Amino acid sequence: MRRRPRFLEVTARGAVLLMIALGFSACSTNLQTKVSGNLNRLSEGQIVAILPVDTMGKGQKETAELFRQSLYANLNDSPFHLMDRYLVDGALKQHGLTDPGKFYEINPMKLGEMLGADAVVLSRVNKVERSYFVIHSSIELSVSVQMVDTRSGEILWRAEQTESDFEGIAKIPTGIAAAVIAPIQFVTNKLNLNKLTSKMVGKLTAIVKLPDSADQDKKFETTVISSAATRDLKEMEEVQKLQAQMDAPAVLTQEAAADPASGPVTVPLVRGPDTPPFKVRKARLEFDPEERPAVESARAQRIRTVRALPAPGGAAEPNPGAVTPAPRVPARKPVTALKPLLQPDPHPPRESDPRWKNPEPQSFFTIQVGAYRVRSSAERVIRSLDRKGYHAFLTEDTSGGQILFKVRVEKFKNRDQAAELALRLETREKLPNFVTPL
Amino acid sequence: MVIFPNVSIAVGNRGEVPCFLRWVLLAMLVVGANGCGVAHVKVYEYLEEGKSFPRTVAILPFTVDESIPPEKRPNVIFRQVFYNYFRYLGYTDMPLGDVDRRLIHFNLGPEEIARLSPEELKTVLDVDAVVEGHVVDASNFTGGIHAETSIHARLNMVNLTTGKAMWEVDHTEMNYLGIAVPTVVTMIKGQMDNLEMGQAYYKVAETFAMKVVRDIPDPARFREERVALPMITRIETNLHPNRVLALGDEIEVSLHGEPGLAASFDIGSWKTGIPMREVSPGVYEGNYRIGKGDRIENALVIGTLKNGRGIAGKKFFKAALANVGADDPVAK
Repeated sequence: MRRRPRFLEVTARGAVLLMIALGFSACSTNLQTKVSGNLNRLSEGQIVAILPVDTMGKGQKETAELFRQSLYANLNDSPFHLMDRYLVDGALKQHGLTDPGKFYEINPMKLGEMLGADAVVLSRVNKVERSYFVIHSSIELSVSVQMVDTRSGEILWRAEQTESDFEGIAKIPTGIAAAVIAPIQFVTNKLNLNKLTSKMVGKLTAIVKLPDSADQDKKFETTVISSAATRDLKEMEEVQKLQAQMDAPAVLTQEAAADPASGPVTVPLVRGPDTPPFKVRKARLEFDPEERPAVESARAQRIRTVRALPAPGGAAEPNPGAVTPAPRVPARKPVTALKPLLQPDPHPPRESDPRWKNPEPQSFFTIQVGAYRVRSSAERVIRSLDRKGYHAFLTEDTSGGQILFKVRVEKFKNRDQAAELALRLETREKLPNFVTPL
Repeated sequence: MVIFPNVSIAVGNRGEVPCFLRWVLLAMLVVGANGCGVAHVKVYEYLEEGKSFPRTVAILPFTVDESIPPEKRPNVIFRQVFYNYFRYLGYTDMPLGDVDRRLIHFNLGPEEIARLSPEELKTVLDVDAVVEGHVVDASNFTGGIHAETSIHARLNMVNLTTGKAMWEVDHTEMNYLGIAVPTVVTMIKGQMDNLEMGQAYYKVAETFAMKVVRDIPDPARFREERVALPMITRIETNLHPNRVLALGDEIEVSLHGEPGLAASFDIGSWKTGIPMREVSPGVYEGNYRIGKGDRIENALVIGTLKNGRGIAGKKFFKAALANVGADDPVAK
């Protein structure tokens, strides 16, 4: 007789404790976020691309899409310009990037070049869990996100958030029906996941919209560069050091006459009024023999000899006067770091490497859909094509003595691709056209 | 037992659905059959490959029923939220500010807009389609243990080329907080939140927009195939590896690409949007003179070409990094 009230008391206490525990865990949020001081330098003119969201498990694709949509909606009123989703996806597809899991491995600078974006938002859905236990159900969502400046590789914003909500007995329903129905409705209704995602992104992105209002502990203490960018920047620096070492003797000789005190790495780029103006492109593409130092380094002589040797194809004839300076030496292609950015090259190119020679001008093909004497007529056609989603542009041709405004569509690296669109333009848009080199 | 992906359900030892759970599922189906919370978007014009469809869209100012008190009208918030979500679709959306500026420029209020023909509207806004919205009813009520916020609205999108509606929806969205649902803490919080009318309307509008946008035909998949960013074929600078620039030096940049576009260059993220001039068709030049206090460490020079629609193409100059001021006492 005395045991029963005791049992009831313990049970009641347990139930109350459980309800309190569940009650306090309702709509719980765990948000860890940090921003960089440079985030507020992204202004209206800067373009930010929100990339497709990576997932960690099966069946999370829909949540990932929802999360991306919420990111777009919430960041729409941020100071920067959001790149349209179809442009982001289209550009990524063109580069064969359809797996969001790979985005983290790519140098953000490369992503910037692919997308024409100043910053990219990379995100991942870590967990989506919906549990149902008859009178209690819960949804838990966990995401991580980071915004990276593509120009410097700096992480501007990084956040991790877990959001959970539940429905059931702990929410003090008025009747048993609500206690039983509410949990199952809650866990099966996709809208609740939508609401949770939307709520989550609202909290998540608040700091991005007002980075100045972030507390001190939510700011990066130092500049954090993404690992992919750090790796490639280091490689670039090494390549440049190598190149600088190779160029060093010539630089020293050149500078010694002007200013013996100056170091080999500080070269004034703009000359004083007493010296001829510095022409960048000319200096790069053509070598003026008058500017050549009087005493050539042994290395320079060696290069000269190597260049004078017959080419593997046998096109160039041996030059008997290889040691005497030729009036003009073909321009040298500047060392491009694109290669190290994409695939680190363990063997830096040498002077005799064909990659150092002047690049062949790359030819492109375009589709000409009309030529007009009046500019406004051409512009009208461009506007019309633009509205239909084609990338049309204007070129001016004065070769025939008269000015002609040519309307051209898209640009392709090969003629076949251009011909494909040309056919489409003719059949769908009824636009007679032809493919022409650009 | 798996009913939905990622949903684990506690079942009996033999893996059978308990009897009472069958009743629960039945009850759920009955409740679900009410259509509670579903926005029925009626689509009249589906998008098809090869068929012309609107690219540019303007969301007109949403009108509101006169019966709603002026202080409780959610049309401005609703329009903004709907725009935020609609932007996710593959249309090119005219910014709301631009839409309003054009309408003001032509002195067009809601009544005048309603009288305009599709052709006239197309001329005024220079878009292929418009989204019209009318808030039929809205409420924001907080009563201690019961609070609700609702928006009842009709939206439709008109193809201005054909003059016909592409889709329309008539939907009521409600956010309810009462004694029957939340914990005591949530209930009090909910009541307090609901007092913030703007925020409450914002939340309801978000749910409304999410539901509607999900069912609107999306041209993104057709447009993805034709994406062409402005092309830059070459970028050159006067930078040399491992050279530190000093006060008064100039970084000169030249860019080769599509003609007739707006060009600029950045020095890392330190100096951005330095304008460039088109010196001959497709060749752009610009420079930056190192000033007092300028310090740059290992920054890349990046050229940008932007077209009239704000779409940009970028190319990085990777042959040399820009370093300024590290060894220059004046710059320090």
